[in-house]
Formats: sequence, C-alpha cells, structure tokens
Amino acid sequence: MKISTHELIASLPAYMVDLISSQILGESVSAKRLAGSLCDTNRLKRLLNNLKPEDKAILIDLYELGGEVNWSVFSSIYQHEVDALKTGLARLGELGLVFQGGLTGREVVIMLPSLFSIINDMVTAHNLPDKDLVWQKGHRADIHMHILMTNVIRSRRLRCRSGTEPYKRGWNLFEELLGLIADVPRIYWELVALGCIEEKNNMLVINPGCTMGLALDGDLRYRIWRFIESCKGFSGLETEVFTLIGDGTVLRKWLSRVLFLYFKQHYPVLSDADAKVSDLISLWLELGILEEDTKRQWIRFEKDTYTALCTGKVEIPLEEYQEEIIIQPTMEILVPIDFDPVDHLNIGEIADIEKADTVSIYRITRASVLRGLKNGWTLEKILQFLDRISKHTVADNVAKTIKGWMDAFRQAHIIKGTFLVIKGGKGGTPGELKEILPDIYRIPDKSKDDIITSLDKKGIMVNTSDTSFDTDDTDVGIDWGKSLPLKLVARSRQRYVYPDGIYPYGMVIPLPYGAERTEIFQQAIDDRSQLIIFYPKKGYGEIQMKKISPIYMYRQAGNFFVEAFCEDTGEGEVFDINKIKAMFRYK
Amino acid sequence: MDNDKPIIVQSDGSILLEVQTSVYEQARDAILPFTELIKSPEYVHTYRITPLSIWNAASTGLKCDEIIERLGRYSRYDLPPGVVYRIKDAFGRFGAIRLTKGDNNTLVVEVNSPHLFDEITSNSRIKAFILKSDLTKRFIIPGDVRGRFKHTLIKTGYPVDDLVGYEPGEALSFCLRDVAISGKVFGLRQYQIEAVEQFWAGGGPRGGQGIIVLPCGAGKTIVGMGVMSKAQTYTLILCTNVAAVHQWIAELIDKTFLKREDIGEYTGIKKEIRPVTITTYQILTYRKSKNAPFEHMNLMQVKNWGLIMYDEVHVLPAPVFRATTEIQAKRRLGLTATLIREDGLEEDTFSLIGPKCYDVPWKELEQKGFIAEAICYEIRLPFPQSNKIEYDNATDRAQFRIASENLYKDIVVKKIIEDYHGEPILVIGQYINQLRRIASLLKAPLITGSTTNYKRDKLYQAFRQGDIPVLVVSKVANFAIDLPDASVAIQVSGTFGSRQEEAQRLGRILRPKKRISKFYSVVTARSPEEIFAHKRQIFLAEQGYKYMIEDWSYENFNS
Repeated sequence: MKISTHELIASLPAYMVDLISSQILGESVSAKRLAGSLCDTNRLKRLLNNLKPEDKAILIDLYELGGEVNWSVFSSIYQHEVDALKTGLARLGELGLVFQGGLTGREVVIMLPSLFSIINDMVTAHNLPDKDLVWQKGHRADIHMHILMTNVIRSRRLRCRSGTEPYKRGWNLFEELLGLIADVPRIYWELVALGCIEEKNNMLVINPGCTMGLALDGDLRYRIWRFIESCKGFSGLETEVFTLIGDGTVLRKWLSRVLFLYFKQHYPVLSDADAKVSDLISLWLELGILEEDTKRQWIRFEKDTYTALCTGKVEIPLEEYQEEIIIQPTMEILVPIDFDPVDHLNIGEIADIEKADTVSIYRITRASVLRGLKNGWTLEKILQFLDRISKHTVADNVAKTIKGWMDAFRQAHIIKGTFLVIKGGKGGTPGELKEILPDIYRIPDKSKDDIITSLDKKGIMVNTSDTSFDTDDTDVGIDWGKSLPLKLVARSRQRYVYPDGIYPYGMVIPLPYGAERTEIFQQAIDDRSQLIIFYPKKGYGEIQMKKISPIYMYRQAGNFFVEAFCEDTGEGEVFDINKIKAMFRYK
Repeated sequence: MDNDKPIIVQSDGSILLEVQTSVYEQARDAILPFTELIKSPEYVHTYRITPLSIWNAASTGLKCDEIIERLGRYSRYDLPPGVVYRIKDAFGRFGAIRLTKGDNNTLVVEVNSPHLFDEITSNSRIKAFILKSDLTKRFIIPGDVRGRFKHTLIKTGYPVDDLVGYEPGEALSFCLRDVAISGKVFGLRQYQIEAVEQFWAGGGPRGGQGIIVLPCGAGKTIVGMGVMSKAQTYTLILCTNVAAVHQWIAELIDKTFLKREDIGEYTGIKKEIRPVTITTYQILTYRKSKNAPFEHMNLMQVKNWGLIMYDEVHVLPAPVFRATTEIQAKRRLGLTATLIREDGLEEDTFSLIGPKCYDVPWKELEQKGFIAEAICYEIRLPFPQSNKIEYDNATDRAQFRIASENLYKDIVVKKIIEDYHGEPILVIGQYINQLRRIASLLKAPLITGSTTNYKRDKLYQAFRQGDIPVLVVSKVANFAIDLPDASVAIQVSGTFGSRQEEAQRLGRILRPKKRISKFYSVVTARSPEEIFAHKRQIFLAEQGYKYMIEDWSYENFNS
C-alpha cells in the first residue's frame, strides 16, 4: 500500500514547507504547490535523465523495495558502501526525490511516490528482451531416479532404522546401483518426504499409492514441488518470483538484485543473501523451472511450468516420454532414461533392477514374477503389458519362461507357524510332510524356512506373510504440499508512520554527540553564521524548528548551553546543546 | 537425444548397441577397435570400454580424440563426462612407458614425464628391477625380467609399449597348400588374412604378440597356420587337451607342406619334441605333488622356438602365465573365442601374451555364411507318473539325476530324429545309462570315454560320410574337437554349469551349411533341471541365438 505524493508532503512539518520548497524549487511555496510541483512528470523525467547512474540505481532499489525501507535494511543492503549511499541519497533528497522519516537519520527512507510509474516504465523498458533471443534447452529435473530407487526398494529387501533411515548396507546398495547417476541421499529423502517410502517392521517398503501418484503427476509436478520446497523458510518467496517474472522475460541481473533486496528486506538476519539468491536461481534453472538464454543474461519461466503455476493443471505433453523399451531374449528389459514413469514404475513390479543408468537394465526373474503375482498381476496382464511397451515382439522364450514360473506358483501359503496349504495339486509336495487334511500339511517345528527353500527348489513359490514386499493397507496418495495454482498477490509493503514528520533526505542532519557537537556551535559562533535547529518544546516533547544565531557557549553543571538570538521570536534564548535533535542543512 | 543413433554409452563405460538400426554396422565397426564385446543378444549388444580395451586400441594406432568422436557420432545421449575422462586417462597411460633394447642384454625403460618417473620408481617392486637410472626419464633393467617387469607395471595401471622385438627362433621353411590332402581347395578367408596381417604387422616389433578373437567354427586353427607360415620358425602350440593336439596335427598335415616327422606330439602318451610341437596345458602344468616342480614346463625353453601359440587362451592356467613371463622375447599368439576369463585374469593375458589384435563378431560371419545359423530349442516335459513318487522322495542331488534321466526324454528324442530324418544328428548326454538306453532305442552307436580311439575314429568317419545318421555321445563331446559336424544336436542331460561346455556343444553344429542348425535341449519341467536350463537359456540368448521353448504335456505322450 503506497501513499501519494500529496499525503507525503502533508507529513512535512508545516513550519518546514517554506524552507524545504525554497531548497527544492528555489522558491517558497505552499505545501499544496510543493506537492503539485513534485508530481510534475516532466520535471521528474528530466531529473531522472540527469541523474548519475549510481543515484539512479539507488532509486531503482528503493522502487523495488516498495518505495519505503527502513534505514537499517537499506544500509545493510549497501553494507560496504554506506557512505556512498548516504551521499547519493542526499543528492536525491536535494531534488526532492527521496525523503526520510524523523530526525535521527536512522528511520525509514521514502521514495517520492510520483516516481513509481516513471521508474516502473524504466524497469519495464530495461527488461525488454531482444527479439532474437536463443533459449537454452537445458536439463530438466525429472522423477526417473525416484522411480529407479523405488524399484530398487521393491526388488531388494532392505532393513532400516526407525525414522526410515536405511542401514549401511542399504545405502551401499543404493550407491552401487544409483551412485554413478544420482544424488542418492537427496533422492531417498525426497521420496521419504513425499511419503513414497515408509518403514514397516524395520523394513523399507514403498507406498504404492504415493509412488503411483508421483509417476502419474510426473516430472513437472515434481519440479514445481522442488521449486516450492526451495522457497520454504522464506514465506511467500515462490509467489514473489512468480509475480516478478510472470509470463515475461527478465534480466537475470535484475532478478538477482530484486531477490537480494527481498531477502534483505524480509530476512535481515540472513547472512549471505547474495549467495542464496545465486544458488536459488541456479537451482531453478537446473530444475527446469526457469529457462535462460544462451548468453545467460535473460530468464523466463519454462512454459509448462508457468501454465501449471497459473492454472494448477500440471500437464506434460506425452511426447516428452519414450513409450518403448527393449525386452531382450535374455530376460533383460532395457529402459531408457526418458521412458514413461508410470510404465517404468510398473516394470519394477515384475522385474528386478540390475543396473540404473542412462538405459537401466531390469531382469525378469522368478522372484520378480512372484512379486508381480502378489501385487495382482496375472500371466495375461504381464504379457499384455510387456507386449504393449516392447519395441519388438516379446521373444518366445521370455513369454514361455514367465508362463512356466506362473504355472509353478500354486499359491502355497503357510498358516502361522503350523500348516502348509498347497492349492492346485500335489505334484512336488515335500514327501516328508504329513498331510493332515486334503492339501494341508503339518510343518515340523522351526522348519518353515527349510520348507520354503525346499519347495522353492521344486518350483513351488510359497507366500508367507513376511515375503509381502510392498502391499500396504494404509495406502494413501501423494501429498505435494502447497496447492496450485499460486495466487498472484500485490507485493505487500509495510505502511510506516512518521511521528517526527518527514524531511527530504540529507536536509536534516542529526547532531553528533560529544565534542563534535560543541564544535559545530563554536564554529557557528566564530563564523557568526545562522543555524536552523530542531528543539523540543518545553513539557510536551514536541519538536519545533528554530532559526538561531549562536552568540556564546558555556558549561554549567556538566552540560553545554548555547546562548543565541532566535530569528523567529526576535529574542535571545538559551538552548541546552544536548537537547538539540538535529540541524537543518542549507544548500 | 537422437533415436536414430544406435549407441548408448552408460556411466560405467559399458556401451549398448541397438542392432536393428540403419547405421548399426557402421557403429559396430567404429567402436569394435576400442571395446570388448560382452554379449550379443538379438536386439541390443553390450560392449565394454576398459583401460585394457583402450590400450588395445592405442596399440593399433587409434587416437584418443578419434575414440571420443566415434562415440559421440553414434551416441543417442550425451556422453557421460566420467567415461570421457576415463578414456582420456587410460589413453594417457598408454605409451607413457616404452621398453627398448639396451646394451649387454639389458632393456631401456623410457618414461615420458618426470612425475610418472617418480611414481613408478618409488614403487618398491619396480625399484627391485632397476640396474641404473638417470633419475629423470630413463632407467635400465636386466633383459631377463622383461615379462615380470611388464606384468608388475600393468598391475600398477600402466601398460608398457614393448618395442624390444623378438628372437627369430630356429628357421623352419614351409608353406600352406592350395589344395588340402583331403582334396578340398584351401585358402585363407579374407578375415583370416586380415587377422594374420594384424598380428604379424610386417614382422616388426609392433606386431608379433597379441590375441586373435574369432567365434567357434570361424577357423582359429587356420589363422594359427597362417601366422606360422609368416613366421617360418620353430613353433610350440599349447592346446586344451589331447584331442585338440590331434586335431592340430591332422590339420597341419592336411593343409601345409610340413612333413609328419616335423610335427611332434608332446602329451601324456608321446613326448616328441620337433620343429612344430603341440602340447597341452595339462602336461605343462603336471607335477608329482603340490610342491614338486612342473616337470614339463622346460618344454618352453628346450628348443629355440620363434613362435608360441596359445589355443583357447582364455583358459590359460596360471603356471603357464608364469612361464610365459620368461619367454617375452618370443613371438606369442593367443587364439580364443572370448577374452573374458572366468578367473578375471584378463590383465595378465594383455601384459604377457599381448593385446587383442583382431576381433570379428560371430553374427557378421554368420551373415557372410562362414558359420552356420543356429536356433536353440528347449523342450520341457512332465514327469512320467511312475517316477513321481521316487522323485518326490529323493534328495536334491538325486532329484536332479532323476529329472535328467526322465524316460519321456527318449520319446522326445525319437520324435526329433524322425522330424530330421536323413540329417546328421548328435545326441549328447551326461549319464551313460540314459545314453545306452537312447542308443538302443534309436539303434545308434554310442561313444563314451571308454570307447577306444580306433573305434571312435571309425564311427566319426562313418558319421562324417553319412553312413551313420545318428551318433550318441557322452561328455567326451565337450572336448573332442575332431567330433564330426552335425546339423542337429540334442542335449538330453548335462551339468549345465559351464558356459564353455555349452559353447563347445553348440560349436558342433556351427560349421557352415545350407540348412539352419538346430540345438535341442530336453529338460524336465519344474525340476532343478529347469533352473539350470534357464541359465543356459540366458547364456545362449546372450550369444545371440534364437531360443524357443516348447512345452510337452501328458497329452503329447498319451497320444
């Protein structure tokens, strides 16, 4: 929320209007006329054109900061060049372009509100890109590694600590399989954060609903999630970026500066805002949320990302993905890195991952087919699925081998601790087991594992409760956190109050303490010069302006006093030097 | 990404080459010089880039930039930076250390950078070889440690560019026949000539050591004879077994003008040392006890051999490796169908025998008709009801045997033989009783380990001439390279453990012919045999053979 120039000028102490208008305009005018003159667009444009670049930069910063900024924030933005900032602001103050609240010199700095539209045009023109920009088609973050890791967890039984932290063996396995191509810890913890990996009885299991949600929502939703995650801790940053860039193209340098100002203004304790901004922009480019031109000067939102942020509809064109894989007669499935994530996830249900790489290699094994069976796959479903995604006709030996395994699986299962139930015939039943009911056998104590191994060798796959890899009763969908679309909000500004009024920056000099203060008055006495001071009224603490000619300075009870002729009252008066708030600076 | 490009370079240095693309052949020829073929199933072949494969390429004069350019040209995705780095690193190591001849039976080692000089000379094992050093780029080692020095260096990751040259050996003048004694016109095929020329390299120090990789049935023996005819020197040939020794002798007599008395057999039976001597790894590594010396290893030194040939070099035993370190001044040729060793000693093969100097994929030879096209069939049978109780109550080991000797297999074999009436058919098995039963059913002769050589030769001859259409053989077929060629092989039982065994059995039907060869395996379904059969299926599919599975049910047998 901004104030108007008239409102601003109304905040000038009435007794200062004459003085200030004569300083700025060269003539003493009323507050209304002063405000009117300051609003004069032609005058402002002329002034802006003649400004030094560094002063213009200060003005633009002020504009980006919303026109008003605390001195502490502003000085921290220019932390290594505060003197230059002060000098620049003083020049701008003399022109009536920048004001400051109060008399302390440490209060809010205010840009002349009339400048907003002019600077806005200036910034817009500055951010107008060349027509023939060439955009880099860079890397875009995708969920390929997440799908691979999910499939690794499916095909290996990995133990974990509570809190879903895998043991060393698990990490080693992930590194061995994915380390060459992926940032394993990041991928792992992202899957945990998204709810795709869970801990169940000290085992890592995947949440099928979440993982399928991840695959279905696809790369773009993941990118946006990463974008929003990266903004976490900086409330509203994603909206700020969304608003700043919009559907346009902006200079990378400008974006960096504006975000830097944003951090400085809202998170003043952040120690290295510059590095943070640089890291974030690099990350967003890396993710594919933003795109940059080949000269790395211009930035824009990636088209699909922007649409998704605007509409909440996250759609990636299907042609982004390859739809075919190669199934070798060796039972290997070769899955390219850009393969459709949903089908890729499904491959992990019926095949074991052997190698994750540009083209990942899966192998259909007896155990993987069993896993598929437990997850509801049938022979027909597997063959149809493979046939659909395979570039070539599925080799005869592959289909027949899967069929053989499926036939061998007779859905034997062990009833807790005691009985073995075999459906579909007795062929291959262990001879040593005693049949107590048709198809039901008693298992000797503590020999469950031996029985399973023995039956496995005979081609009978046993379904025991602990071989259930990833079925989960509490299957829930993925939670992406912040919902889309992002809502565009006006860049909110703090509305300041000015109890001690406002003054053009630099026209009011806060007096230093100690010897320097007395020196100023001694100098005025020696030079017989006039001073305009801000002095509190007796009793109320209200500030009044006095035009004085110092005559004599003395010390009493440890305090310095100055005896001066007051031009306003036409009388001699005595002022406590320590109570003088500030001085007005003449041109 | 460009889907028309056939190569995918993986981060670990393996390369996937998609076969059914328009530029497959160009891409294959481009990468073959600096990669090793790992497997070649129907759709995508897997190659591997290793330091050894890079050094092999560097030794042929290929440049590093050219390797990266070739990969880039055919790669579907961007090359992984790690792979490019590893190629450059391996390439940088080749030629960094050169070995040349010095004075007074010494060798000069030249190192191309002071940094590398410091690195290798600070290695205590290398330091032990040094006689004299200029402390910057050169040092001198004794002439007799050539092999050990090279071997030690390769273990530290540096191949040696060995330019010392070779001892010519005792001269032996002979040439190849244009028409073999058997009456067939004889001559080296184009790829065999190329292999010989690559190895020989004009007779200079750049050649004369290395390995020629050719698939089964592609004529490695012929290439060996081609190299011998170039070398014209006393030659020692090391083979895997006595049958191979006999085969070499027979081939040399048939296809060269060498006289029988110039060719010696050095085996357990005969100990002939002649200008061309053929022996086995087994006899060379024979010793009376574990700690006794190898009694016959001095065969490698006993004559002034100018050429030593290692047949099936991928099975070269460790003691022969050690002996080979001492004979680095002799020309050495390795012949094999695969560079992959079950024991992982590929580096030793590189440093002691030499780099790969020629390789041609079997598929190319199959397309050109130099080897036969083959299809593998697996027939799965149920158990006869009468065997089921016995099977269910048997131990694991016994179950495997019972499944292997499944009586239904006899019926299947008979059916297959009827289907291929008139064609030469081999029935191969593991268990003698089963083979006897089948032989009796088919009224076919049986060859086992106890069959005399005389009787074997007679049966082979009859089979070769078509007088006997079916021959039943035991595991002797795994090693008998003089076993006649057939167009159908039926495997009724086997250990299924060894890839070599499969390759050998399959090799029996790969000699070029007009018909497509068939390789049948008959297995009992849902038995341990099926698990082994699956391994075989994977192995054969990896080799690129079509693999079909047929299920026979009880109905098939009842009808």
